[in-house]
Order: sequence, then C-alpha cells, then structure tokens
Amino acid sequence: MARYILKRLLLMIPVILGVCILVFTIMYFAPGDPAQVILGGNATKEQYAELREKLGLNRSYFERLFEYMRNVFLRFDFGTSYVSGASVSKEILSRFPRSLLIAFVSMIITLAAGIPLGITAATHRNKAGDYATMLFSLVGVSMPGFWVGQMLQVLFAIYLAILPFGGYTAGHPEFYVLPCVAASIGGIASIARQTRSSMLEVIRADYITTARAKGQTEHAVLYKHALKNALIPVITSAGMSFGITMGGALVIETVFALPGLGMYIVSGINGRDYPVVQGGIIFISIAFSIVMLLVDLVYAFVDPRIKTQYQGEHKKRSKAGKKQAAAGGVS
Amino acid sequence: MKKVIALLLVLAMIFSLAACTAPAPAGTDTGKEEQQEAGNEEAAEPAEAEETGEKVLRIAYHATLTSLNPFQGMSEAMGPLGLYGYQTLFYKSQYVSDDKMIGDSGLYPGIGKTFTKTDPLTYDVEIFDYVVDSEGNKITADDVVFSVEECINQGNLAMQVGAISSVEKIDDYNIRFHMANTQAGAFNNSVTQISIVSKAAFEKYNGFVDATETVSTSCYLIKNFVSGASYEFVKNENYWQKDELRTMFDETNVDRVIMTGVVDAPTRAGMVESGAADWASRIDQSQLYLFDDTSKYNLFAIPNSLTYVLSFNMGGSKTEGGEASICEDNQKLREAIFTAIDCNALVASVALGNGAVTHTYGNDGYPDYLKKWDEEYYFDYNPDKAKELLEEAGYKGETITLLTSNNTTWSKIAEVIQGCLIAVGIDCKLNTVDDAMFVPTRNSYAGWDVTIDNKESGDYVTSTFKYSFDQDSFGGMTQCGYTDEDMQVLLRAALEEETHNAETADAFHQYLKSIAISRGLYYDYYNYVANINVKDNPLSDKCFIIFGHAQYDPALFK
Repeated sequence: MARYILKRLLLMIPVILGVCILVFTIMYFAPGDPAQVILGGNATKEQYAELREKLGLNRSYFERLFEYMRNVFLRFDFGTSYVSGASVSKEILSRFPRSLLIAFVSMIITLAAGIPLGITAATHRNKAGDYATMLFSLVGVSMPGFWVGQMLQVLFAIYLAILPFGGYTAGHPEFYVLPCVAASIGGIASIARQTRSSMLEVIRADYITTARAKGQTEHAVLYKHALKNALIPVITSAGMSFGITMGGALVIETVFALPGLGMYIVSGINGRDYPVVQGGIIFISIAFSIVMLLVDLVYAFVDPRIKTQYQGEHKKRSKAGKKQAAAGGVS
Repeated sequence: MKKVIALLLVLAMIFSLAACTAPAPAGTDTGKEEQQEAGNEEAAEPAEAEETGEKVLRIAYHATLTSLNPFQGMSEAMGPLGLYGYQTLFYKSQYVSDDKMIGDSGLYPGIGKTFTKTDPLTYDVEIFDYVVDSEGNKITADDVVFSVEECINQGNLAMQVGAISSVEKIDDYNIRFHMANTQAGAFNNSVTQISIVSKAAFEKYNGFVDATETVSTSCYLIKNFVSGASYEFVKNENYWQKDELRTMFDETNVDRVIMTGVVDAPTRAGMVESGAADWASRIDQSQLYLFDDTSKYNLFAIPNSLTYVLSFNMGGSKTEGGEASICEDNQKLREAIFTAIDCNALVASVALGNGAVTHTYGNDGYPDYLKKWDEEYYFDYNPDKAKELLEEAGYKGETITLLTSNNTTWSKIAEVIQGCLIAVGIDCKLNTVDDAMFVPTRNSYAGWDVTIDNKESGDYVTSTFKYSFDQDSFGGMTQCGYTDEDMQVLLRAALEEETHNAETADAFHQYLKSIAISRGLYYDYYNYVANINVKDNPLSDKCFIIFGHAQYDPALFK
C-alpha cells in the first residue's frame, strides 16, 4: 500500500507540471492586457507601455515561463497580485481553509443525508418512500445553488432571524451554516440517486439472495453485504464533488459573501491578474490530485477486492524479486 | 478500521474548525492568515458594544479589499482605504462641504495645512508640523516626498498621479510639487489621491502588502483586516489634529465601523434587510422595492458621475491596412443614428427609471457643468427626423456594427440602441466582446462602427472630454480615431487652468455637438440604503460614506 501511495504521489509531479505549463500558456495567450485592466480605458499609450514593462509583460514566453516555474517549484512562490501587490501564496493559504471547511462540512451533510435516502429509495422501490425520495432528489438536483442559497437566506436570516445573512467573521461558525447547507443540497440529491441505482443493482445479486437464504437479518443484508459493494460509484462521485467544492464553490461564496478560493480566482480572471489565476489553479490541481488519491485509498478500505489487488501486486513483486535473487544465486 | 476512519474524520473536522477560531497575536507582517482569522473575532460583536456604549456601525460595501498597500491600483475598494485607512495631503468632495475649505480651492486640509501656486506648473505645500502616525512616527516633508515617489514608482496609480512631474523637499514641513501639465484640477486630483505614510512604518511593514492593520495618521485606523472579506475602522484615540482645526473629514461620530466586502448586490440588500448591516452601498435598482418602507430605511440616490456615451469609429482609415467605417465620412448618418436613440427608454429599461438623460459628457454634479446645456438641442429623440437624415445620408441598408463589452449594463444599453436603430430602418448588429477585450478591440478600429463607453472624471466635465478627445494622449487622434486641430485647440483651452471657464467649456461642447462624433446618453444613480437611524449620507469624492461626519440617531447603537 505504501508503495502504491508513493507511486501515486510521484505521478502527481508530471500532472502538476503539465497543469502549470498549460495554465501559464493559456493565460499568456489569452486576449486582454493586465496593464489595460489596471489603468482603465483612459490611460495614454505611454502609461500602458510603462506599466507593461514594470509588470514584465514584454518579456518572451519562455523567459516568463522559466521564471514562473522556478519560483513555483523551488520557492513555492506564486508571485504577487498585479492589482494589490499582495503575495498570491499567502492569499491562497488564507482563503483555502474556508473553502476546505465548506467542502468538508457539506460533504459530511451530503453523505449523512444522501446515502440513507438512497437506501430508503432502493429498499422501498416503487413505494411512497421511493417516490418521495426521488421527488426530493429531482427538485434538489434541479434547483440552482444560488437560488437555494437565497431561499435559505430569506428563511433563516430575514424571517426567522436566527442565522447571519452573509459576510464572514472569523471565530463565528454560524457564518458557515447556511453556505454549507446550500452547498450540500445538490449533493444530497445526487448522492441519493447514485446510491439508489447502485443499491438496486447490488440487491439483485446472487450473494444477497444467499445472505438472505442464510437467515441474515434485513439490516445486516443491506448494510453489511449490499451497501459496501454499492458504495464504490458513490465514493467516486462524492470525491469528485468534494474536490470541486474545495476548489471554490464560487456561487455559494458569492451569494454568502464568503471569501474563498473561488471568488479569488474569478476576480483574478476578470482583472487579468495572471499570478492569481495561475496560482489558484495550480493549487487546486494539487489539492484535487490529493483528494483523488484519498478516494482511491478509501476504495481499498471499502472494497476487499481492491485491497486484495494492491496486496496481490505487492506479493507478486516480492515473489518475482525472490525468484530473481534465487536465479542470480544459482548462476 | 471503521472506527479509525470515523475518528480521523472527527479529528479533521475539529482541526478545521479550530483553524478558524484560534487566537493569534495582533501584528502586521507575519502569520497573516492566523491574524486575519483570529483578529476579527472581536469584530462583529454589536452585543458587546451595546454593553460598553461603543458606537458601532456595520457597512456592507460593494468591493473587497485584498491588501492594505496604500499605493495599490485604483479600484472601488480604495474609496474607504484612501479616506480613513490612510490620510492624504488634502481632501475634497463634490457632495458635502464645510467652512474649513482652503479658500475656494475645493480642498480641505488633511496632513497638508495649505498650499500656494507659485507658477502654473509649481505648487508649494505646507504640512502641519505636529502630524504623527499611530506608532508615534512624526510625519515630515521627507515622508511626503517618499510617499509620492513610492506611489509613482509602483505605477499602479499612473492615471491618478501622472500629472506630477516631480516632488522635492523645501524644508521639514514644506514640499514643492512640479506638475507635468497645467490642466485644471490636476493638482487637486493628485494631492487627494496619494496616501501619505511614514517611511519608517512603510519599510517596517514591508509596504503593508501583507499587513492586517494600518499604521496611519488618519482619525481612524484599520484593524482586523481579512483579505477579501472584512476589516474594521477603529477610532484613533491619539489623533493628532487639534479640535478647532478639524474638518468634516476629521470627525469621529462613530467609534468602530465593521466593513464587510460584499460583491453581490442582492446580498448587500439582504444584509440591510436582515439587520446584519446598517448601511449598504450600490444597491441594484431592481432591489429598491425592498426598501419602500420609509419608517425602517433611508434611501439615498446620488447622481453617478459616470456617464454612458456613444462614439463613432473615426479611425478605420487611419490605421495600417484598416478600413473606414461607413460612418466615418458621413456626418448625416452619424446624426441620424444619434437622433434615432431614445435615451429616456435607456433610463426606463436599463436604469429602471433610476437615472437621467444627459446632455453632454457628465451631469450637474460637476462644478463646471452648464445648466443651459439641459435646455439646448442635444440630438433629441426624433425617429421621423432620423429617417429624413438617413435619406440625406444616402443610407442603403448597410450594416452598422455596435461594439459593446459583455457586462450586463452595457449589453442592455446595446440591445435598446439596436432596437431604436432597427425601428428607423437601420440594420444594426452587435459585436459583444469580453470586458477585458473591449479596449483592445476598440483601439484596433476594426469590426465596429459605433461603440458604447462610459466616462467620468474626479473633477470637471472638461476632464471627461480629455479622456476621450485629447489627441495628445492617444497618438495624434482622439480615442475613437478622430483628427482635428481646431478641436484640439478648443479642448486645450477648456482644460488649461488659466483658460478653464464657462465659455471655453461651452465652446468645446458645442463643437463636439456640431461634428456629431460622440454623445452622452444617460447617467444612473448610485443607491445607498441605510437603517432609518442613519440620518444622512455624506460622501467623499470617491463616493464612500464619510461615516465620521454622518449623523446618527442614538437608537442605532442600542
């Protein structure tokens, strides 16, 4: 297992290098001039030229790419924002915990509500419980996040006045409640649907019939035998969704005025603030790669076949090594 | 294994929550994240303030600040930072006034006590000799020279301070400004834009780029800055200015102001509606109905100095390999297009009635705006006349391409104009480009015949003319490619301090009208909404509330 993790971590290096070059290249060739955005439309040509020179925008593609890569990989320095002059690395690190917290809490809510709902729907197929769950899922999937957010604001901040409408003050977890709930509604619906279809497939399998025939309780059949096998696609879907939310739930951040990574990157895109966009995307790609690695590891814990596969590979290698050693000894 | 995973999940959650609540020492240049997160813990606690009798105001502001660098690029977020985060040599406001103005200059003392114009390009500024910042650093001419030079060197405010050629120290409390041009308002603009900071503090805190609080001479200080989210203005208890010399910019009618940056307009509205904010800036027209109840809210509508304008492509033939627009040499066609546009429809449909038709590049908020312009003919909407002009122009159904940026307001304006033109028989198509691509596309003089833009200045209507028509600034032609020596002479006369007056401003306006290359369309209002206990809405030159000067009902702080 350790070897597998190490291998995956090493594989992340070319991925991140590729993302870095790709993002830099896209931003380099993207139309729009940061100097123009900073100075506005009324500046003279001389003023533009001066600022372009100062920002280093007149240097060649390779010069800029080389310097950027050197700074990112040798100094973990994403540069400074063209607009504010603040360090992009520090800004990302200060915003990331907020995005991570929203992603983490909303994922817990999503799984805690979505999986039971999906199981209920599957075990009550074509009955009231199934219809109710699927109706909720349909509505949940169809409602845009911003609308859900605004409805929650109206209900909990204006009518009931028990939670803050928006904004952010550190040390006050109540500012996270509505964003986390809003971010999880779509996820609950989608996980519920995913779990239902996955469970429906599994509970028709022979080994479930066998389990029932052996006199296992329905609870044990569902949660011990069926759910474990039905969870694989759910984990994949949840992992992807977690990674995306961690990279910044832009709509949620905007509606609730929560300064996370998403808002930072979008403000960078609008202002052609290249260091912000590049730094933000590279950071997200690293975070996303790590999440996907964790998802793969969770597979192993949930699905014994995968765990056996990892162990099997390890054993094969060990055997091959021993054989080679033995062969070497003979010769 | 399940238990281990469950335990890990619980621990991770606890650590994540703890990361956002852990206290950290105040400071500026290290551990920004921790300080930001922790420092604000004491921020949104109006309940505590109630007990202590502290006057706390909560503002939902439409822009977010990502650094306390005093010389960062101009943005909406700079309004509060320039007014109370740091201090400038002088202040100005076109919205409010008091009796402390220096002569009739329009300037109020800040760090600067007074100034003298020694020749058309030279100004001597005297600063108060007892200015100290919040860390006790005494401010002298050296600090002023340092601040101006640092601002120029950083280059982010080139538009704002480009008029300053150089600055030199005369003695400890006197500084000489050499201006690069003699444009009316250039000195006033420059000295009200540049924050003055102590060189020692600036260097100690690495230019404040990663700081969480300001070291300032202002009557308020910024504390608990959380990038992109919020910060507080806290009364500077050791403010240096003597009571009898304090202007409206030095007043401190509230003790603490919690600023929350909220870019989404409905969220700002909701914050006032839910009581999470006492005052919010730039409420969208479509949200105003929420504040109809005048027993609960005060609504302040302020004419926006930004005017939407329409200009023709006059530079196609002058660019290498370029092609002349159909409108370039056809004044009748240009007049027909101008006359076909119903500006009242723009106000009604784009600004939802919350604006007014303009009769030049500005409105009567500018001190040199002439009332008579409102009474005169200004391409008044007349579809019949537009059709006649089209005939005279020999228009044969050619396509007119209207260039616009893809931002919401501009797109709506473009659609209304397109409708107006089609209604009189002009084939109009839209060329909508990304916001960041608008200026390069316009400057290419290709792919468009007429374009939407918006213009404003920090001082005079004549300065808004400059930003479009000064041929010296745009490589020998106007921003839209027009070349005309007579026009440039008239513009220079309207711009120069010595000759800037009603006649020269009017002469340029009339000339511009006569050649029909560009026109103003309308301006809208900035809507500020406040709790009923916020009694007025005094604004700085950058449209930020001078909250220290505003009047409040004591009920607001209970």
